[in-house]
Amino acid sequence: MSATQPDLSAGARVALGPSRSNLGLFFARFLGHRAAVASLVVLAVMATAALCAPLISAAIGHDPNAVSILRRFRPPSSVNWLGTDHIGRDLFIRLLYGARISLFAAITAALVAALIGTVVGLVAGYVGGWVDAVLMRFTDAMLALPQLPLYIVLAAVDLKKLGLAAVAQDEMSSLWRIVFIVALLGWTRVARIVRGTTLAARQEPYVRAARALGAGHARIMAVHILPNIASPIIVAITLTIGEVILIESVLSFLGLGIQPPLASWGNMLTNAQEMLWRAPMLAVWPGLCIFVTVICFNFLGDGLQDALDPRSRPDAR
Amino acid sequence: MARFLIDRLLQATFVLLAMSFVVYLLIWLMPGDPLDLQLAADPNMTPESAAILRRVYGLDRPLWDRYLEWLARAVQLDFGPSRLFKVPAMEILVPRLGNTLILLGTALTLAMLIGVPLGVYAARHPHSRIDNAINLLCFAGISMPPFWMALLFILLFAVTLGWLPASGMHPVGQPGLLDRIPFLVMPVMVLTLLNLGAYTRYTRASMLTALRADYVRTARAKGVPERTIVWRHALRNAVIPVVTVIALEFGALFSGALITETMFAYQGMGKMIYDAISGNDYNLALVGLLVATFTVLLASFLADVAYVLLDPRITFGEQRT
Repeated sequence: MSATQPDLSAGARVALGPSRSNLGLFFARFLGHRAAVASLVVLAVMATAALCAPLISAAIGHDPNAVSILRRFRPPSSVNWLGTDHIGRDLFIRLLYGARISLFAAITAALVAALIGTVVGLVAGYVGGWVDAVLMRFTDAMLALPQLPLYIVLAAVDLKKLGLAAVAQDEMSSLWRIVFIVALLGWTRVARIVRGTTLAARQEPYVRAARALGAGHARIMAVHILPNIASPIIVAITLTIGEVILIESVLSFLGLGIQPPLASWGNMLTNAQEMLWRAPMLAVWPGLCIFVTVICFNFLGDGLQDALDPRSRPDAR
Repeated sequence: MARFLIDRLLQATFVLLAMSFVVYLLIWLMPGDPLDLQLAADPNMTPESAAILRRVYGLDRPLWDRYLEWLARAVQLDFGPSRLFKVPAMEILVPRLGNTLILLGTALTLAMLIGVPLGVYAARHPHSRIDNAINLLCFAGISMPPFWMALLFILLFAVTLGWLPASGMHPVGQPGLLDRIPFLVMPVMVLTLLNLGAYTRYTRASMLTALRADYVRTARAKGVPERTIVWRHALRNAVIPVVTVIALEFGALFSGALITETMFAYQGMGKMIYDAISGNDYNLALVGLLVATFTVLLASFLADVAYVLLDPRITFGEQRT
């Protein structure tokens, strides 16, 4: 159960996606959620800046990984807009490159997790019976586990012992590892939501009609049920992205996530605690980026939920 | 009822067993084995003596074999020695568990004492200015990276203001309970704020539903004072799902505690697990993870039981509870 959707347990909530006729209604409702609109703008600016990071860094003339002993702990100036870190790298440029990694890892991991969760939830809800019982017991058990300690162990696993020495050599391996372990543990929320909505959708006349017309089970699930339960999945993906950014930042902060020299918002904070007395702002900026991004994704998810599925709200205006 | 409880207990035992094997496997997959570390530390060790030690420790046997042997000892509460502390893992674990319970208990109580009234207020005045402000604060709390909140607190209260110690358990040489309080303030504050947002939102959502129920309308029609309706009639019903969700989310609470303890060098379970994993202390990491899992399972079991006891409408089979 997510922090922002306490009322999702009601499985009977059949969410109808925005069909062409009420697309306008969707936009009207979404635009009425001011925090969500503002969040979308902030996220769009951030994503653009992240995509353009190499251009910006070339224009300003800093390399994100250029180390310089002579330029350690520089205060903000016209040259280094936010100052430099403990080994003389430009903080602003590193934040931009960190955005690339953090956003890419979060979005990819959330999508993979949603894919697994959707398949599990669809099968459980559609097939029912003992398949449903087994899958949901498993999901519940996963949900009940203390996640962070598990993430830490998974992040510490030695790839060489798994016979993946070649993968371990790759500079990007820490990024893919984060994506992998988040997907491995993070699919449960989507699975529960999809299962609940599938259970309800299965009873709908259009599903019975499709069955009467001779559609196979796979076709019914993919073509008839999935589009009709898309809204809660979209909302869940949005909220999961925010969660993944937090998980990535925690693991990277602890030195178990994205490995330097690759910059991520989390690993930029790794040494911040020891340097708190000397350079407090080094601890503030990356954390602020994480905080703003996560809160934007949460507001966006909230706004999407309002717009896609207004009935889910007990306080709908 | 009895069948339900037994069913749940069996299920929890099974999850714990499965967890123990998975964690055993994962820890085996962590870099190095206990002997590699000893070899690296001792230049006089020959390959022959290493092979002997390997046999003594049983490291030459298959993983499955070693797991069963570990399990046989574990059920007798013997989890082997801790590599970092050179004493049985249980001796480290027990006091750490106590410290974590102090931290978690205080933070959980505070978060509920603040969060529930805030949620009730927000639900009584939906879309008011104060509701919007509370909502914003909740989103901020949910979206805050836990370690960053701790960093900001240290920056404010220890570095800038100098009011509170930045980390640790107690002043050097003064391990008394009272001496510990200043060291507890920041960890408790951080952990409380981390969970406050979620609890407030749960309460608000649950209260909104309860305030629309028929019995509330009936009570209003009878002229029951609004205060009584809110706090006696509606809250009583609204708080059941809230407590359940909080118990079910005990794992998240524990994850928050791990970060908080690590940031403030508070000697609890969370920090112990983290230190054990990063210090290759296999036995300690294993037992720590299992105790954490056990605690979380226990919390969700108690939540189920409480739910049944608190809500007489829920029945199992033909029996009424």
